[in-house]
Amino acid sequence: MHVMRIKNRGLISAAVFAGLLVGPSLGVQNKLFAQEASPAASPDVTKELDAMKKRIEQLEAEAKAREASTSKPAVPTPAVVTPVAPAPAALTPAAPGVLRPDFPTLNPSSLSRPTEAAPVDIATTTPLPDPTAQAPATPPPAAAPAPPPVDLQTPFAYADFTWMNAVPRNQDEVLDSKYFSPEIRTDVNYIYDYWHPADHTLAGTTEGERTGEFVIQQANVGGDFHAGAMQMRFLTQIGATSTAVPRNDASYSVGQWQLNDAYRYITEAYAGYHMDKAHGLNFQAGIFMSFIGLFSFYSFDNWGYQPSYVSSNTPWFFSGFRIQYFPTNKLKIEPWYINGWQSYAKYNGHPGFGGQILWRPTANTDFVWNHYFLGTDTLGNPLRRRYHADYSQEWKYYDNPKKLMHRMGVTFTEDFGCESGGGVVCIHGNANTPAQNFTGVMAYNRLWFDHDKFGFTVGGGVVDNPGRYLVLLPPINGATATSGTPYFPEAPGLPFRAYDFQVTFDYMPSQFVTWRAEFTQRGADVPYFVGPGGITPPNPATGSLTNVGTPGSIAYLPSGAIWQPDLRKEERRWIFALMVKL
Amino acid sequence: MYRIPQSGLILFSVAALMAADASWQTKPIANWTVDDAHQILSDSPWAKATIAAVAPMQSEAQRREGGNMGQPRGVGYDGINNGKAAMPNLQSLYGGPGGNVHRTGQTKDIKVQLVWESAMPVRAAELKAHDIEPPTLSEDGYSIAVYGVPFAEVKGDPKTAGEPMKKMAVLRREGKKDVKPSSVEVFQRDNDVVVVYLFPFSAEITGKDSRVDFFAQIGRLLISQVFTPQQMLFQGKLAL
Repeated sequence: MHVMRIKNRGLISAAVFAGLLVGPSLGVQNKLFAQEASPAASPDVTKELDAMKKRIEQLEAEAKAREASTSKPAVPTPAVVTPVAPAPAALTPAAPGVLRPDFPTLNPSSLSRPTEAAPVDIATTTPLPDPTAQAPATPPPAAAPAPPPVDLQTPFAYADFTWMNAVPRNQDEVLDSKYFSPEIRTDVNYIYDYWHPADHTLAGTTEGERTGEFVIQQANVGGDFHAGAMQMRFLTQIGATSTAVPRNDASYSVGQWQLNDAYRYITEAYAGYHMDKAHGLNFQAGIFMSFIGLFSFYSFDNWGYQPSYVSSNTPWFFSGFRIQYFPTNKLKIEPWYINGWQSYAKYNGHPGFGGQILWRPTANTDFVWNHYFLGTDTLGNPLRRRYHADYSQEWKYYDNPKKLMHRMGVTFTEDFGCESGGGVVCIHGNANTPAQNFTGVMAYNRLWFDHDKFGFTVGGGVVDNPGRYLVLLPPINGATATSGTPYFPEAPGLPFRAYDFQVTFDYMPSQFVTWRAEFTQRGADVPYFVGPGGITPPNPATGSLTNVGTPGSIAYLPSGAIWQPDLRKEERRWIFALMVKL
Repeated sequence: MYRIPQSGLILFSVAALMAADASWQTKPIANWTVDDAHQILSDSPWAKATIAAVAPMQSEAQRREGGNMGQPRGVGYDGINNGKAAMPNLQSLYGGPGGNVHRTGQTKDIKVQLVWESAMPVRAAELKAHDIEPPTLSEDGYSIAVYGVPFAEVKGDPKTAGEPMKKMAVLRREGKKDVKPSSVEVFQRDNDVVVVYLFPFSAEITGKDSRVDFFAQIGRLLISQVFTPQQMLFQGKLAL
């Protein structure tokens, strides 16, 4: 009895308490409903309410019809459930008189939707509990894992690849705008050569032209123009490279108009059209970077200043047409139709073909396959065709931002090419038809310290190029690829084997600036590097070291003896560079 | 003799009454209030709010490497960085990390509301709340709308604008094939953009599915949300 009394008291108390809690709410609801049903409402409101009631009745009827149509019990059904047909009004996409009649809009009254007021269910939290008595016995599933904050549509946007060699590390843009993304680069170096060449000349590389002097290696100004599907990139090359690069190309010698002059200050210039097919499709024509040999033409982007022969002696650029196709966000397929092997023009009658496949399957790996074939790139020899394969791999094998030395990466590049026809064969040559090929490898390992403020790179490579067709001609007495020189002949059957290694220290006070100090040592099996005497003859009249006669020709001393350039089999030098990229 | 504590009875009664307060479970549609409707549209098994993850911006070099030029604009890109572009970051000219630090710009939390538009309680609630008509134009599938995408000008008709987003959304269920939307429509409103995904009935969502994961990328916004079919019951039936 006592217990019953307590029970009764408890139930009564609970009911009263619940009534106190719920009563006002119900009262408000009733009041609201009474207001909605009030005959004093305006005719418009009454009309709208009538329509709404009809619609509610329709929905309820549909619900009952659906319930009647199935014999399943009132528990979650495995049958496919179809959504209720929308109200006819739902078929009106936009109300007239909205703010932007040119664009599809929704009724501004939708602002009443309480998006802001809603409790936020962050993806990592548990979903709301089921408030109903019909809640399933099984616990609600965990929330969906928060999506990684990465763009899975844009090619190579799913991870940060700025750690890679040949990729600029910048994350921010300066002065970017809707239609133009400017790019400004400056690369100034001072090269200390242990040979101290008398003519301050460096040979066998395009990443340094003079020694013992401050040299503006490159000053690049330009950027990307973009408007809708239109693309255009333009970048100048002012500085030592505007002489050093064109002189390695003899193609301009065929015909008129001196393309080496016309293009010498341009490093990239192309127009393009972008299409949203798959993950992107581009058609581009002009002069563009090749990335054969992995390294970028711009030293700021690279782990080191002096790349090995595999990179330094293979094309920095192509002139022609290319298609960039991105079937996935991790893969690029890029066929080329080009004038030739780092040439402004065609050497002979046949263009070059090739392409690049770039695959980045993970955030830590990168694979590049470059191929080139069928180009006739020998001046005056239309029968000699060039073939080339160039593969690179990059691997970030350690990454721990909490450590002082927080990242390590390595690159490997393998290169094989050859020429065939016109008196040479790719391999297994003989005295009459010598083998003309190029084999090289290089590898670099880099360490990053203190939030990328410091970098340390060690690497190098070797090359074997009988026939010397990819050996950069030393500019002896002003020699160019067109002139050649008897002091260093490049012809089938002449060997050239070389090695090099570099040790690079970088200080990167910001993402836009790199201070670099690099030691490099190079060696060859033939005299190739500039010694103390230099490779510039003394002028008979003045005695100063200036070119004499036609470029590359034999020069004579005042005594009448033939002047000889000072070529050595080895060189060691320090490169100090300050590079900025905005 | 077992005695039930008085306080326990009170708490039980209150809890039961509060639990039973879910309007879609206890009241016929005709008795729903506007507040009831708003609750269904904002915080119910059919409507959930979440914060979208924001993908980092790419530098121009990164964009170009991926075949693009210039920062993308439009739905899912505009309005992400507090209305400002993420550049220039002049402070980084003098210092900061040497590089390799993903930038996101000055992003703010992007709250979005996901609503299972094709579900009958949602339609009824929208009607009751005098809310917009459901922004779906089709009856041929499950319709999920994402409200609260930062304002951007929507060019072209809704379907054309939504076409590129078709391949960037998916419904995922355990043990079943992922389903991509059959169509996506984008609607511009005064202050935001609504993206509506229509998934075909071939998705075959049933009460046996313990969860349905919705993933979508809208520009730089990445959205994921779980819907629980076992909770999406209306009048005892699965309402999707």
